[in-house]
Amino acid sequence: MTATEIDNTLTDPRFRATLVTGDSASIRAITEKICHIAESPRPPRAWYIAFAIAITFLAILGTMIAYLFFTGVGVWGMNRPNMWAFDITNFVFWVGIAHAGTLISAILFLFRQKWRTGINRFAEAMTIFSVVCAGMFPGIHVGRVWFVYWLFPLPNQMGLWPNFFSPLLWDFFAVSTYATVSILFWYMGMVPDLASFRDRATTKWRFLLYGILSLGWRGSYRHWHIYEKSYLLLAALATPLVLSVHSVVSFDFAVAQVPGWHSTIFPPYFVAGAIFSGFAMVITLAVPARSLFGLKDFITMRHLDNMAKIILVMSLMVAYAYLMEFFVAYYSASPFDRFHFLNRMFGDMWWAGWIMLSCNVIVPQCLWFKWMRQNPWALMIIAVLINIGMWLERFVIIVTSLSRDFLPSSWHWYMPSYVEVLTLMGSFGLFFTLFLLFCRYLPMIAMAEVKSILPQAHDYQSRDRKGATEP
Amino acid sequence: MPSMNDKTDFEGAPHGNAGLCGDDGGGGGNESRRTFLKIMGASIALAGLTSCRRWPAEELAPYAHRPPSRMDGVPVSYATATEIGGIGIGALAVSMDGRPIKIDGNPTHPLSQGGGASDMYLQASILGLYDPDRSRSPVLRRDVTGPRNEGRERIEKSWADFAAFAKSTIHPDGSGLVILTEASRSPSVAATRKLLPQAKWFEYEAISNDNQRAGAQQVFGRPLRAVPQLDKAEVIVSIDADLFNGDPMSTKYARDFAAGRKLHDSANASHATMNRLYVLESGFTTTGSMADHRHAVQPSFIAPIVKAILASLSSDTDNRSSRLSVPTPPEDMAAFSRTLMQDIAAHPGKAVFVVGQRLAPEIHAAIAAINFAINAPVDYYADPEDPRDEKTWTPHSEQLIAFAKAAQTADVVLILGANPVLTAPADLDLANILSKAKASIHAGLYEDETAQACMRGGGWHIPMAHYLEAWSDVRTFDGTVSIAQPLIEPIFGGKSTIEILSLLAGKERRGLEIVRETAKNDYLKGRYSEWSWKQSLSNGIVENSARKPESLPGVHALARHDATGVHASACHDAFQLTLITGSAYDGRFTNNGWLMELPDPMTRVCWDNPLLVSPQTAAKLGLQSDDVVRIRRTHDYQSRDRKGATHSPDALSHDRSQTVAALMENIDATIFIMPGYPNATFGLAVGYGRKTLGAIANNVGANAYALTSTADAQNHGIIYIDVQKYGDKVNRLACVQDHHVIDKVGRDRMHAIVSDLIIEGTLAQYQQHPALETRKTISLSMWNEHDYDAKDNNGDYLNHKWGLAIDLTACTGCSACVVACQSENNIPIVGKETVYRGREMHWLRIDRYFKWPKDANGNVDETSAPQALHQPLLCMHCENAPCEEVCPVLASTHSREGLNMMAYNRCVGTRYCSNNCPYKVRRFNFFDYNFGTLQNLYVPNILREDINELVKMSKNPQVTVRSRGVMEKCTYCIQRIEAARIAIRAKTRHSGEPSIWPDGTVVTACQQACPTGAIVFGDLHDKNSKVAKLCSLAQSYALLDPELNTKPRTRYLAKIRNPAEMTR
Repeated sequence: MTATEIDNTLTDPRFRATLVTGDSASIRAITEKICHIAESPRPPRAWYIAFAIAITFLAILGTMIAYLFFTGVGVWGMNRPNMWAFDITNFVFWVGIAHAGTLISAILFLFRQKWRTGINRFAEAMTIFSVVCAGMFPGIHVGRVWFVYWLFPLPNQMGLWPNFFSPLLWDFFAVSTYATVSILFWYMGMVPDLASFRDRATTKWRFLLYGILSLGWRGSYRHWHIYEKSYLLLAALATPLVLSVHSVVSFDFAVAQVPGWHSTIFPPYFVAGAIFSGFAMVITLAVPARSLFGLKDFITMRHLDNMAKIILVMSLMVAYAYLMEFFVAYYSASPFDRFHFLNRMFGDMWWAGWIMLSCNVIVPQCLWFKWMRQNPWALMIIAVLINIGMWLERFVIIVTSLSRDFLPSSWHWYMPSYVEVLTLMGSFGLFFTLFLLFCRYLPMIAMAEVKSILPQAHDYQSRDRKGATEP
Repeated sequence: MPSMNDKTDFEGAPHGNAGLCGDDGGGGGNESRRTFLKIMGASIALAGLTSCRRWPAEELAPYAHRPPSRMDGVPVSYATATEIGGIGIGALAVSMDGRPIKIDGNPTHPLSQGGGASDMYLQASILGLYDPDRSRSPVLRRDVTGPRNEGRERIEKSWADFAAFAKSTIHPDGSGLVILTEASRSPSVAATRKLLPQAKWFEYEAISNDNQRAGAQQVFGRPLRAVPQLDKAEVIVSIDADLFNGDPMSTKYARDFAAGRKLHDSANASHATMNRLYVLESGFTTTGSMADHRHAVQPSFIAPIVKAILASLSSDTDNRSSRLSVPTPPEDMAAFSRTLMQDIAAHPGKAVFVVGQRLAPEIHAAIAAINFAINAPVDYYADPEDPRDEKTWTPHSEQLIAFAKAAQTADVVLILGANPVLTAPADLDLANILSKAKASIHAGLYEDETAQACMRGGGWHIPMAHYLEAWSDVRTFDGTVSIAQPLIEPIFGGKSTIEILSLLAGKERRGLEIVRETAKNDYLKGRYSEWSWKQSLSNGIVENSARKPESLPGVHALARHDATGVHASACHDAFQLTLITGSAYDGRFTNNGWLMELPDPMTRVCWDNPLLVSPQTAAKLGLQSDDVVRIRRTHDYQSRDRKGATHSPDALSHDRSQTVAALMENIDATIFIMPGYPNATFGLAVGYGRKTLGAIANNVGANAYALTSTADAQNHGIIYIDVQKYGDKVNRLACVQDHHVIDKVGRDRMHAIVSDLIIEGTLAQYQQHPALETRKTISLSMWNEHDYDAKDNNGDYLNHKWGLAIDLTACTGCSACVVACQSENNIPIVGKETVYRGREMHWLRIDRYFKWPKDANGNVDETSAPQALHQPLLCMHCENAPCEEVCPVLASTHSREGLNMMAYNRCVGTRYCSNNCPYKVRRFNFFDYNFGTLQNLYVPNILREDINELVKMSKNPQVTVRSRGVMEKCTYCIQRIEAARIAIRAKTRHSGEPSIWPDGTVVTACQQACPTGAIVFGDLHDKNSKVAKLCSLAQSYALLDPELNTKPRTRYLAKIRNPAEMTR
């Protein structure tokens, strides 16, 4: 791997590496390589192993949820004052993860960041699967799960509506809108590729299934025209959602008056944190996936390098938010807030605060170094640490704040139960099961989009590669 | 208060013929009904003959005639009474459809004095009635001989079997019979006793005031009962007494004490007066937390201090209280005692000493002499119902020893109600004596330790009736008689003391007959009529049955009592044990879930009796809270001091200590570090450590009685112990407040915030500036807040404005309100594990904070003794309620009357409201606490065993029983508000409902139970209501309101203490 494969705009602005490298940089090769993953009779052995583990955890999740439903929320470790703990932490964590996908597909699309094409499909898939995980938690965490539909504004004969003042209701709207738009965006972008799958199908079932899924796509100019237009529209629609979802999620806390929650900086702070964790998750997934499925030509070092840079920026924004929280607590002179932030770092749950700070602020500083950014496995370790740090950030915000709020008489520690821990692990099982199935049966890389950024797609660039690099 | 219709003995009882009232209906209409029934019965029978019978033929009786004083679904109060330790306690029991559901104090009774005041024991006694672990039938255990000899067999018998046994075994005049009872001052029991003239009668109570009476005997020659009149005292000196908890009289004491501490007239704040409480104690009791001056000393120091006080008085008996010199030991309490003595001198006839029940008779004698000398307001009452003759009177401790001796030679041993095997000093080995008795009978509510000891020897256990199941009469401290009416037929067929005694005497009669006859011959003698009987039943007390206080004999007290009895041969360096009366009382309430889950007001630990120890002593021994230690009684007084040297004063002979040692058990207890405890002193509550009593009591805590010995009396009742940690065994105590070791950051915060949460001041500060440190809220709202003060065209308020005031000066932390709330509002108990996890359900809790003095640098000095503060906390009913805003389904809403309401059936359980509640008063049903047992909370619902039917009977049908997954909290007893509204609307349906109801129309359960009147509920729109007056006082404040603008309807009155200026 040479440095020329990496975006060297900063070192020498005259040159730009190609986005697809190696012998994959042809239209045919792209189709072959991507379709092969789904068409090969057997996936790699590692896929089986990963899938077995993932589905085991999915089964555990099912068992834990069944136990929860039949017994009561008490099987979790929550108490008074810590009425929320792992459940909402997991919810916010997974919603946060869900941000990268739409950011990559929508915002980078609008900014004409062509490098996004290599990663947008599975980043979007990641988004949808994390929204599935995220949406699960508010659903299962309620005390009377059989009445959870009361959170929906369903017209009923009693004229009872939900409380439109409650941030939890806003959450419901924000997350469900986000999920809908994300699924639409993801699926619509996938239609041309699904049509390729259909066209290459060798079995009846594949033909039927992909045929239905591809909605009769024939690749006509008219199709492409409508497709491009609606993709742009959806991107425009999804862009504000990226900012709104986590802003609304942050209202769950910002609107409440618990010290450590009640803060006006939460919306941007949460959005930055969400993008931060989302990109970390993309890297966590991309690094093994690209080597497992031979996608190094599509998800190149340049992609990883770019994502690392975004992570670094987000880390600095998160660090700024942390700093501001402390400053505001100090400057507000509210004894409750001051105590909370003292307690966050030096109280009995200091470890959570310091791990959060280390993982989210200190560790990402490695990414200032180019050699770190270009080492995929180092990147992955950093990304995993960031994910841990970001989970703990939500944990710290929720549990550390709740466990010691206004009246010292009500302070109480929090200890998760095994059911809670297994449910968290099970949610990863759900996520990875879905993700591995996606890798196996759906186009992991947006073939049509990648083809559009090949030099061949543009007449003025259709010289050979060597020529392009000449001054 | 209607009286029970005594013609049908147990009318309205669910097991009785509640609907079958034809007997007392009478009249011609009845006949036709019976005829109708006959025809109906015949037709059913015919139908049965002609067709294949599918149902058993039953006679049906329609509920055609409503018996008097019975309305379906309408609660009715009956006056009844119970007795603890020989003190009659007047009660009002609320009956709903034939089952009692709530107990309160009887306002006409001298203990409650006007309110529904009661203590936690009375409040919780209703749950004891429905205890599924109560014994259900006479049981005989006898040897089984045969090829498969399996030892002894437990055989359930009938009462007829028992009667046959009694007839064959017991001589009708009672000769050969040895009886041990609980203390009872029931005239009927006294009368029934005469049926068995030859029986030897002994009386024992583990917690009794007999030491006081023994002291009085020493001083005055008669074992009189001393009743301090705290309302008449300006200076109260409590010597190791827990006035407000664990004493049957605590309701009266608390009420009298609080009467001297009401500062409700802010107009005259500068002239406000208060009594002053000095507390010298060997533990840390709620009395200590109320103290204006408190000093904690080891138990062994109490006698020398009392001796010194007495000596200072004896030196100059002519000028009784004018020239008191200062007692000397110990060194660090010189200032305390000097101030105390000067205060006593300054309040002649207005100062009183009160002494703890457990202290030795000599100390009581000395204090009786002191009280006499300073002309203290103490009433002395004689006790004619006492089975012990005044001439040959001996205290309970000696009675028990005499009983143990008599039982060994008795033909039949009968133990009535008491549980001496548990409560007796361990070295008496009563279990062994009873199991070797020729024949033994135990009568009690439970098959307890004594029952098992009797049955081990082939004896009987017979079930007794709960006080709500039986007719009885009791006398209280001043002799006032209350007739106890049953509210329900004995659920398990138990019999009362008088019924059992009449059965044994071969003259079996129903309780009602006996009580009526006693009334005729005793307290209603000469004025008995149907009217006076009914009047007495209805009032709950017999008019003019109180006795006059005895005038003290004309002997000079100090001349007779030269204080030599109080000697000081104690070992101050050794570890000493202070026995505590906790929520189990002497062990009779240990199977009561409400009391077991009631957090101790001082430690806030429930479901255990931890071994309390001061932080310094714990540090010295390397102990932490939750450590399990082994307690060993050091019979030879040997103990390690700081240097490891041993001390052995030879107060006990070596031989005796050897014998004792063989019988004494080592017990394991769990350490709880209690600030303010005297050093080298350990506190342990009695009544715990049960193994085979019932589902609630078993394996809870340690049995402190195992450390007691008959030899204790020789040493002023001081128990010397050794405490050793062994292994790493840890018992996680269920403590509802700052249980875990709080780090420095948290502790600093607590120290900083306590003075904001509980505004406190001295009387002097209050006189200068009644508002003290309270901060008033200035609310600048950007929107139109709800108008709770809207008026109609006539200028009348459209809505009530409910509010509640809590006087922190009066609150003793006694926790009667917590149990009352639990009883009224169907609050489930959740078990130790669940409380440990922080999921207790009490709607009303009493927070306890410590306040340490600051050292010269302004730092909190945690090694010094703190003051303790109690703060009852219930839903604040904020006008700007943070919980309401965040509920996604509008389950938490606000009423026009300002109630923060909780719609259980709308709640889905997101728990957001609890997170946003700054007071954390919301409680969540993590499990189906009401629909299964505590042992299987973690079992999926479909596999769970259902709750016992009996426990369901204790529920108040006017309050929803909450299911799993629902949030709940204090409602200001909305069911009582609505009941009052219905009654008022029914009454005023023609004239129109008044916009202001008379003050006191609605009384919350906590307010009703509070012995000190610290809780006041009412309408804030009524300017003349008590609550409106209290809330407008300068010293009233709303918790966290200045910070959060929640506008709570619950307001606190600042805590005011009255310390004297300390004399240096």
